[in-house]
Amino acid sequence: MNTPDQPNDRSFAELVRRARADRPPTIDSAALLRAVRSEEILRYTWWDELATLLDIRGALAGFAAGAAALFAVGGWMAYDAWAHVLPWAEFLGDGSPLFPGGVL
Amino acid sequence: MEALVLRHQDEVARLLWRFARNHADLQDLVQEVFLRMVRGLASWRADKPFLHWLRRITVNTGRDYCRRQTVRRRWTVEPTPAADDAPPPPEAVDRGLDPAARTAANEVKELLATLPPDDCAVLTLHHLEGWELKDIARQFSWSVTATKLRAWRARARLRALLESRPLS
Repeated sequence: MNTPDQPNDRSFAELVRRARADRPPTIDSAALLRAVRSEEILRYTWWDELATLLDIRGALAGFAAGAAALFAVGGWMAYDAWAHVLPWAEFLGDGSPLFPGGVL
Repeated sequence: MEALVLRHQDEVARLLWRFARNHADLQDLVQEVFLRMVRGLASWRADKPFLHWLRRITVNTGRDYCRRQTVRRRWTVEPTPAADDAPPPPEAVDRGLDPAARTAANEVKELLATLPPDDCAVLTLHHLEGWELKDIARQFSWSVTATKLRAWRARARLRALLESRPLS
């Protein structure tokens, strides 16, 4: 940028000096706000709304409840498979030597 | 959100007006800045000044505009000066508060628009906004040395342009 000025440079500098005084035309605020509002609506989907409603405790509670339910169902299915498929499970069934009354 | 828009729209418009060629483009650019703001609000870090972050979006939007103008100029045919029945350009209708300043600004913008987009952005911010090169470097995440070099080359291109096309 440190180069000697030439006549064109000086007239450009003068032009810039005058151009700096130019002010922008008025912005249509209503149209701007409408655009921003519609963008906000698009941005916040139902999932965002749900995430906003659930705070971290709610999310943790939901996660814990889901995990417990999965564990219960998985446990029941595992036991069911174990009790019916594996022959040695009869040890836990009715009249078995280990638990005469049965486990369940 | 609306309060943010209303609070900063004048500052954003003032800065973008240095880039925009006409009122319609300015309106679009201001809208683009605030839409980018809404989309990127999650990435704003609360420990940084909001205005700096918004100014960066604004300046990048201005640079993108320079880029689009370059592409548009490359792919469109310049109108012939003999077309008397063509409607006057918006700039000619909208004389602004200070017609002399508006005319000068249009002439400067027209000149800068013929430069490569980054050169256009650097010289617009430096000449029309009066920004220091280190501020421009920070806004575009360039090094100060690279920005100085870019500005020097841009100025050389502009000088060559001025020699081939004297100012009115």
